[in-house]
Amino acid sequence: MIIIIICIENNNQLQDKINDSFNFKGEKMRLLSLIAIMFSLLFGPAFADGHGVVNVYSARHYDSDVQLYEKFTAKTGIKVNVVSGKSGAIEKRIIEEGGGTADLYITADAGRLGAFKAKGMLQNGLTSEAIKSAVPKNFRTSSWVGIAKRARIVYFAPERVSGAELAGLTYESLADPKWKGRLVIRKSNNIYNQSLVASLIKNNGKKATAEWAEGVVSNMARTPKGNDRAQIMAVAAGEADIAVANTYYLALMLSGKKGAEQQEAAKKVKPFFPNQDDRGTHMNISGAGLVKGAPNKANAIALVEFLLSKEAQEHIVNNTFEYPMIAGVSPHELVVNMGLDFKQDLKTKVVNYGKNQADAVAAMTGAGWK
Amino acid sequence: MSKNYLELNKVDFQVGGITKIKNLSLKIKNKGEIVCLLGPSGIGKTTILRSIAGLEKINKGQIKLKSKILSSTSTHIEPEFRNISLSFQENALFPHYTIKKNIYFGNNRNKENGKKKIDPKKVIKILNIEKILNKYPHQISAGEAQRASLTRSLVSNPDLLLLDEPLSNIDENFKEEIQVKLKKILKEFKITTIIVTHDSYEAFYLGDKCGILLDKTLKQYDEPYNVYHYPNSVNVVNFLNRGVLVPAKVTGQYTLENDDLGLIKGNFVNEHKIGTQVKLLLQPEDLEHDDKSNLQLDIIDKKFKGTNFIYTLKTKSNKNISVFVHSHHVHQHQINDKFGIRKPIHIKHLVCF
Amino acid sequence: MKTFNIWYISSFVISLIVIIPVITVFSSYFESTSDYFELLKNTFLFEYISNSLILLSGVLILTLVIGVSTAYIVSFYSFPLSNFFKWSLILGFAVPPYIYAYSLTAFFENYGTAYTILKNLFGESNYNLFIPKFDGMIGAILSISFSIYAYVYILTRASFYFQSDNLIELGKNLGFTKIQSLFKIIIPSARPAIVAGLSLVAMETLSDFGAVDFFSVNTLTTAIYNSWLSFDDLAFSNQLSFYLLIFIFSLFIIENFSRRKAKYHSPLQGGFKVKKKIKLSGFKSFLAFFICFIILFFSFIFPISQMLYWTFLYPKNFFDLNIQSLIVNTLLLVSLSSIILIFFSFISNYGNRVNKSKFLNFLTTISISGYALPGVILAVAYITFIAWFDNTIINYFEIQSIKKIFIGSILGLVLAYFVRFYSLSCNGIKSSYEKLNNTLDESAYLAGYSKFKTFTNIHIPYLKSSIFFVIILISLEVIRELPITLILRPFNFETFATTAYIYASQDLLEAAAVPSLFLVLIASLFILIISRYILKEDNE
Repeated sequence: MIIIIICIENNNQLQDKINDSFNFKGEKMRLLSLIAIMFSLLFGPAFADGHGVVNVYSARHYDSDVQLYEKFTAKTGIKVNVVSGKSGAIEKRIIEEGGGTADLYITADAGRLGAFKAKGMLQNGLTSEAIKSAVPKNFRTSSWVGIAKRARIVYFAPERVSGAELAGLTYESLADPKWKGRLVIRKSNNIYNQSLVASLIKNNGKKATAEWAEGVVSNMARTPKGNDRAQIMAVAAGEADIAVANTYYLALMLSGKKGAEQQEAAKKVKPFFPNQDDRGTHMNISGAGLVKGAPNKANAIALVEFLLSKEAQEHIVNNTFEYPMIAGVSPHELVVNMGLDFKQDLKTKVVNYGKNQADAVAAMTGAGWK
Repeated sequence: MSKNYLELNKVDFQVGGITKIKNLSLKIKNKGEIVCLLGPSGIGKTTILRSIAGLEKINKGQIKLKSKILSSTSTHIEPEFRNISLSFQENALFPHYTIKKNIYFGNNRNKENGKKKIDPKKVIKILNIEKILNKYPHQISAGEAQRASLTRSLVSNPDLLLLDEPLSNIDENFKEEIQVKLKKILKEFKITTIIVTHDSYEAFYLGDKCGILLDKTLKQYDEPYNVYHYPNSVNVVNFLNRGVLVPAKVTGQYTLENDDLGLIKGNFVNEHKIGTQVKLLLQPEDLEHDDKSNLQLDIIDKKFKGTNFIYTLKTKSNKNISVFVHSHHVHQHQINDKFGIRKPIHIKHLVCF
Repeated sequence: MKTFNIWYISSFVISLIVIIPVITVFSSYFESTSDYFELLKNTFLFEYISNSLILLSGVLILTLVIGVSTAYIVSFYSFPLSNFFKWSLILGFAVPPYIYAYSLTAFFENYGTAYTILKNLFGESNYNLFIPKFDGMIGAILSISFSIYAYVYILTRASFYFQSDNLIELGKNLGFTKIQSLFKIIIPSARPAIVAGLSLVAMETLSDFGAVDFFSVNTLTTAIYNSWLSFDDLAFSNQLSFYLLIFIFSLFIIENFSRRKAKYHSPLQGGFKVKKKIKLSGFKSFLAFFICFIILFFSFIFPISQMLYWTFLYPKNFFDLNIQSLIVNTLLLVSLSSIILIFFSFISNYGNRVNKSKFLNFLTTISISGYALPGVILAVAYITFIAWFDNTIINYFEIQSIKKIFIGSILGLVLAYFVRFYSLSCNGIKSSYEKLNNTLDESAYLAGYSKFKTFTNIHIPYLKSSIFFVIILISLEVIRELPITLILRPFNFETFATTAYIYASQDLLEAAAVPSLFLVLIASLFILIISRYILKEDNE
């Protein structure tokens, strides 16, 4: 574009010709102003720097998040710029931009944050007292912290699964042949599954987990497909007896936000929290990471601190049905109803999810887990 | 005034790097003259017109109009500054404009020049295209398009009008009428014109002069009568398809002798020494039918052409010659019959090579 | 001077911009891939390829059957609403495959809309097990097919339309029945058009990202994306792209070739008369109506209804959506891309016209190859190139980094659109520019018009309607476009397509319905405006 315009300017011969045969003066001015307008439109939004801003790259895009950012801006005067998308694309863009633009990376799953940290794309700095005191140690590192919690649990159809069958159910026992043809779970490329399996590798080792994966695959009622909610509905619809899915999905369905049918379907399944007799139920987080080379580091930390405030936590739990990260905030009523007094796995640090991710993928794909 | 109106001096005409016509010189002495160029297709007639119009550059020679150099090895005036109009062989009407707008498009320059104007309405009327003025080019016939295109070229009242096969798409029965009208307009407004055509009769009628283009050169450039009756080379004879050439021996100031036909009398166009062997141009209208003649030849073909028959006869030396016979002729000869030719043969102009 | 003028420079720059992503892909072909991916390569490469092939054959078969049969029915028969179907059958275009996928899932999933309908009709029962689940591969095939069968329909119909009556009469003369004529005369003579349509379908299918991503079908295209994103294996991703591109380029060539061949069918001026359609009655008439209706229903009415249903069911989503800003963004992208694309298309076409140079023509041919580049690959290659350029060249000269100007900016987005849609606009202008005979320019020069004046007074008015047509086509593509926008868009900048995609990827299909609905409605409007051009019957 620029080159062409320069060429037009410099090509006197052409211009002479044009001027000779046609009174071009008026046209030329109009053309130039048009080009000027186009340039301002093209380049205008490219420079989004400034003092009162924080650039958030978010893999979560709930309308409720936008409202939360608006509250933050109202409070601090810091404008929140958001670019959202799927986590992979967001991460890639941060990497290729090579720092200097992104401040904060917000995504679901510690596995993603850990892997991103491992690529050297996050920096230390989320170490303020406010953060440290708000977030339990196993849900944070110095470069990323959890904002909200979720558990990956088992859902069952009470009509077809007895209490005796369920008793003492662990993630490990999902490989038990008694569940043959009765289990539904997502694909192996799903990050929630990868983190769950990573935690199993941390606790049981690679070899045992690889065998476990084979057992799970042979128990599957169908080739993995659909999201977590689809797994729950498959149990409700009778396609399977048990499903593995995150906690907030059931609450979401029960809330009626997904329509009367799904509300009714949700009532046909019950949640079960595995591994109560040993390390506890697998926990994961939605979190924020401080991006390396963040131009607005202080603002980014301020935003994280705000997200961990009581006001923000209440907003999050009531909209996304996750568990709060800080003490003193109650989850949504529907989540409370699912049971709060379960044992959380606080032993396996979430930072391991990222570390063992590659082995987890290898274990699952090796077992033919689609 | 010795200056010529248009001068082409030793010009090579080329298109796409290929030289089509070499070393052509041609002069139009006065304003208002009409020149017709004849030649086989692909010879480069169109290239000549395009070069004169300035659409192609020349790299040898010089083109001068009204004493001003238009093209030479060093100068090239852009077509828009030449005031030369070219009517293309193929339909070159602007498809998104009506015929009327197309015609008045050419009128633009007419005003600018402040010359004597040509009234478009008059031309429109003469060429009989009033009915299609408000139509678009795709709605009219090819012949109508050609007339409209012609009108457009005419009304700009150019210094030089170039017409490329202007009547090729016009119906045969209408053609002659248009030819007459065209000539009338050109003469009335004294428009100097070069017409390219492959139809020799059109050229002979319209042109004040005719040029014959053959083998990359201008073979003959003369008045139509002379071109027709005094072709200057065997090639021109063959091109105009004027007859056959038969061997003959000059036997006197007004006589020739041919082995098959015997004595032939007439006036030589060019001088030939007595006793030389020449080739005589024998045209169908030169021979007369005579059943009583002792010169009887075999009929090998017979064509009915309306006003006349053309018999093709075979001579003893296996040469085919053609003879016209008025179609009301009482004798209806058939193929393989004998056909008598009146002797002695008398031909007004003896064209020999 | 003559050989190195403005036209060369500009055509050269255009083709350079377009060719950069292709070079980027090809240049890293020989780079070594990571060990980690070796495993995936061995286990999944076969799956990727076979999935791509299954998807491709499914879509080709379905679009062939739908496209040719509907084209045949509306071209040769008249029945109730046949004129309505003639243009409404192209409305499927308005629904991009990913949006079709959302509707398909919403309707057929467990406790989906189908379940609701059955429950309301027949009372409480577990219908879920009896409702077919159109997801995964089948879902992807259906979504893509119903969205793009119109390529086959449009080109085949045009071919049928311009087929001379003689062919059909010839069939009658030879004693063929209607079916025999169809298979022995009508379809074979429309074959170049059908092949051209199918090649377009194949290209679109192979470059589809939204629908296959939604259904988690691992095709070569998603594999390229994933190996780049998740495993940082640009080399492997580019190697996959290399194979895919070779495949797509061959389709591209087939398409161009067939198109050229198909041209021979269009008659010369005046040599064409409107065919008389056979009037159907009774059962046959109903059957023709039914087939067309079913196709229209599945391609357009069904997805629209599903989205409308959701919008009414969850009106909050409608009011929450910042429609105004989405429309402004869309307009901005559409107008900027249109202006730039049209401007450069004119430069290139006009340059070709006045120069008649083979080299220029070659450059133009290169420039239109950008369309063969799937959006995902284009965006990946674009970022890779800018990052490389910034890291090596710019760093070397120690000047301000250009990344911010080119990545995550409107400029970057428009540049990528430029590469992707240049062939669309360049060819659109070219096809009617070529019909404007060169002698017309010369006539204008001879009438005293300068080159510039000829351009403004002859070319522009003549091309007015094709410029308009091209602008609408660009707009249509830009608002439907997903992967490029998704990867390259700036802060706080959403389009209808990205909003729908983001909601859908967050398991908020009902929220995706509103932006999808807007997208489809705007696209339908555009299609209605240009349907006259698409279904050109006046042969101009």
